Amino acid sequence: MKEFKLVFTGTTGAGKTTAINAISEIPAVKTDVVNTDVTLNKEFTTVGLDFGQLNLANGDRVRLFGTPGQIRFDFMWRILTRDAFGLIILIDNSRPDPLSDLKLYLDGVVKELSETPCVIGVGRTELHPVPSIDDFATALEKIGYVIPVVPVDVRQPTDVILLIELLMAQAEADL
Amino acid sequence: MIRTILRTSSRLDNRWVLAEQGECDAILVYDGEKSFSPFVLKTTTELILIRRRGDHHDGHVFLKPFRAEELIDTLLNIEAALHPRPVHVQTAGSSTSVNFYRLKKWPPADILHKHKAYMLLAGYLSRGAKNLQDLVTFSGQAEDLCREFLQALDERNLLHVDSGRVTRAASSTIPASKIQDEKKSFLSLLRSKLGLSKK
Repeated sequence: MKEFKLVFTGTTGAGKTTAINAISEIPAVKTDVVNTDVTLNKEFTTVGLDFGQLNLANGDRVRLFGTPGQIRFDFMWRILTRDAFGLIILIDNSRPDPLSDLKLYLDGVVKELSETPCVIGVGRTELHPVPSIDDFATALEKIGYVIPVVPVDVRQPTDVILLIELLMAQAEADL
Repeated sequence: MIRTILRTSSRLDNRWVLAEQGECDAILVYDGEKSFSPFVLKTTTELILIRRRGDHHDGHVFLKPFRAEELIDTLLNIEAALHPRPVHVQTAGSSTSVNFYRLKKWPPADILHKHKAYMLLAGYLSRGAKNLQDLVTFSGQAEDLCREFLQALDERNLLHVDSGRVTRAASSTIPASKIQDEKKSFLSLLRSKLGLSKK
């Protein structure tokens, strides 16, 4: 039996825990605590990591890891992303500067990006359309990245699956 | 059912036929095999076991309830392992050349929304240079659709275009490694798990 790793990272409140819950076949293991950050509109926040799982037909497993969003845990982003099959970066477009948020997370895994398929999902775009998805693509181009960037509602399994499908396309292209 | 799958799949392109003999449910023969016997296991013989979904198993399987795309994926994986086919890149003396394309930036929404397959095609082009045939093979989409997508990108100056035939031709003739086979198998299984299938 083999195990493959898929990592969800991104800003606090972007929906990493929700995304894992949307597709996990086991009840997701959470390490949420009461949120004490008054700038965040959420009751609980993740301080360790989230964990979910997909079981493949041959017995192999895909482990779904969600990193804590806080910058002080950036060492965990790198540790978890190492040897991952793919990395999903979730950005909350309702935050003050989503483009800077993205840059921060890309910088956090810059070494892994050359070998690890990566996709960016931008949430809450319906109520917060600026910056646009095209603005994200342009910002990525300016710092030398061509990474799929799509709007997502991580409560919808189909949206999460689209992110994974884009990772698979990149993995196939790497073969 | 299997005969219908083999005949109608554009991805298999009639490379496999069903031989109705032997002690198993079905023998599928690749067109590169000039002779075969149902009673002799050759080095190129691969067993595809029929199993129920959720049952533990190793190796190639065809899972009940049956899904055509899964059998096609399995056969393509076997094909790739046993009969690696070089990417067709014409030689220096050829009258035409093959272009390889890679994205300069992720395409704007107005292009990606023109067809649901465009986003995945862009995904393939985001990880290094690919030619038109690569896109068709990876995506399972029609060549015309892939060409239209490339044209749409080119009109907006979103593509790097390289000829790169020498290096690509050399590398593409190397048989797939075991790691590559495992990765292909993993992607195929994950695609099945998520209810995804290539067109």
